[in-house]
Amino acid sequence: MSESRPCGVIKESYEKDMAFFEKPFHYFAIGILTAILLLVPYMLPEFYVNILMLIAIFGIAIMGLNLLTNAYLFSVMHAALMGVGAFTTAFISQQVPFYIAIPISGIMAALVSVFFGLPSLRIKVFYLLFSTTAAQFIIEWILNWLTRDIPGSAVYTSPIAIANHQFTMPEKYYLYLTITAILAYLIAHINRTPLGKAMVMMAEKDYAAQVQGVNLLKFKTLAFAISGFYAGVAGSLWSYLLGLVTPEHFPFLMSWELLGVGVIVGGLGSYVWGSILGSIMIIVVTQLTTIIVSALAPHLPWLGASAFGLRALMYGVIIALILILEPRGLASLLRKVKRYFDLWPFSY
Amino acid sequence: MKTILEVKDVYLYFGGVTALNGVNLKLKEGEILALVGPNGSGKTSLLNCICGFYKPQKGRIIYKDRDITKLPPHARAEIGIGRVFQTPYIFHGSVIDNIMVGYVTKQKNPFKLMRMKSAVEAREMAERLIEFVELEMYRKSEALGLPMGIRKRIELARVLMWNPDVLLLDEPTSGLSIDEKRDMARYILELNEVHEKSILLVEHDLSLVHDIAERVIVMDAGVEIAEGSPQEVVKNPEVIKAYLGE
Repeated sequence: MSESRPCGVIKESYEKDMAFFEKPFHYFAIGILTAILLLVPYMLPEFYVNILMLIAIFGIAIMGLNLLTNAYLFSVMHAALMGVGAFTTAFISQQVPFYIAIPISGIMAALVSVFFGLPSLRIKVFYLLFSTTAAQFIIEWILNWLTRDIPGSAVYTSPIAIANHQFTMPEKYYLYLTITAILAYLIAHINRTPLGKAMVMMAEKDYAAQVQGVNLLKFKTLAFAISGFYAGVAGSLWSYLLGLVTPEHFPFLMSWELLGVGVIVGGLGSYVWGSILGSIMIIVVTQLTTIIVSALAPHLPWLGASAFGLRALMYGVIIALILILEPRGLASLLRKVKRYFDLWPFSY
Repeated sequence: MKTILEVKDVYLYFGGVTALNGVNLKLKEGEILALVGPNGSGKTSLLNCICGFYKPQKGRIIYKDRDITKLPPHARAEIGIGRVFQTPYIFHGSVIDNIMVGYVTKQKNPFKLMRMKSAVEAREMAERLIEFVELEMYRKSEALGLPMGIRKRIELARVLMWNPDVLLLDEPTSGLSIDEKRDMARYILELNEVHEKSILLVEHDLSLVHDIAERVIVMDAGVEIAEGSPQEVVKNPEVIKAYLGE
């Protein structure tokens, strides 16, 4: 039957009914979160600010991939698309300012994504996974070929600056936060429009969607373009954060990590919160397992070169546990918390 | 009455199987035309050819004096042909989400589709159709978990979002209870009489066909075997033979 709704909330227009935040509590919660995020550079060491920026970068890439996966368009070329964005930024960062380089990188990755996404008109699911696997390796090869004459294939990126003023760490962090917030708003907005719903409708039986008016060429292309753009922007931010990029930064396994951990563990269909939680999983769990393994290694000398394997094992166990306990991803947990407070104090 | 949709000498083969063997059909403006026949007679295949899901090997489909045989399915929807499936195609999302998606056929520009104005307009239209198919209490429910009768109404409402002139209804009452059948018949009649939709109806329930259709075409083994008013065709010896055997 009808879903439970927040108590005492009367919607006076459809626009209000489609709003992201319904109750004062939602505004309060988002306000607190924003305040904490704004204070982070002054409260925590630079290492943690870097971690947050990495979460933002992966979060952006996963947002786009989440939209694509929710339309049953499975892609394991997103690390390579991040690479396209990162290298575009690295190559043009000396000629153009960051506010031009970032969108250009997004557009470049979007074009590449559309090109490799076109077979999705004919092939689906596992076959699409294989074709995007091929795309990942082709793009990796092209990036290697482009950087063949550069020592270590490492391309340096100019720092973010405006009129000779180089951004400090907090300024850079706020820029990353702003870009993440804008892209999160856009993707959440797309989800509430008929366009976003048409993309979901293409999932499973796309032929039936076509008979009911959904132009598959247009909508699939658009899904790949949006998703590629997000990956490109993420790659560009990565490039600015690290100051240099090499093709090895964007391996095939990272594509699987984005899809498997980022989207599935984070929460398929939860474009913003699911993607951010998926990103936290990738970054925080990777860091935590590394710290644990490093602490254990001196006490377990037999571990030796297997330390990396142990880290991967722990990572896998945590992911498996989350999926067993919460099959719809971490976003589902967040929904339960929201629902509890929405209905409080009359949850019955 | 003017012909709005015409099927001219259509042949459809699947390997060695002949699904449609030179079928001809004319749907007049504002008419309810029923297509009946035993299972496997080619009724759904014919609807699939009209909506563009199947490409006939031979023959033509004319809609409003325009040959649409080579048009892709979404383009046929855009020019005013709405198809409702026997098993409704519902995706994961609320009832409103499922209905709102029909708006993409009305507004083709993807950038305009991204605007809040489009979302609100689509929502207003969806709400009006929710009232029409009487689904107010389900509007925010997860559509995939709803019973067949409700899902059929959702799909009907989605197709009505782009206000098609011709509706192709494939067994709209199959799997429904008596009450739900009566409601569906009421919607079909209202769409025809008040909203002037031309309807091509595939149906096994002959009593329903008798009640709402003006004209009936009976098919068997991919060919038309009888045509006329419901009263006439049930007395036709060819029809009796197709349904009951020799």
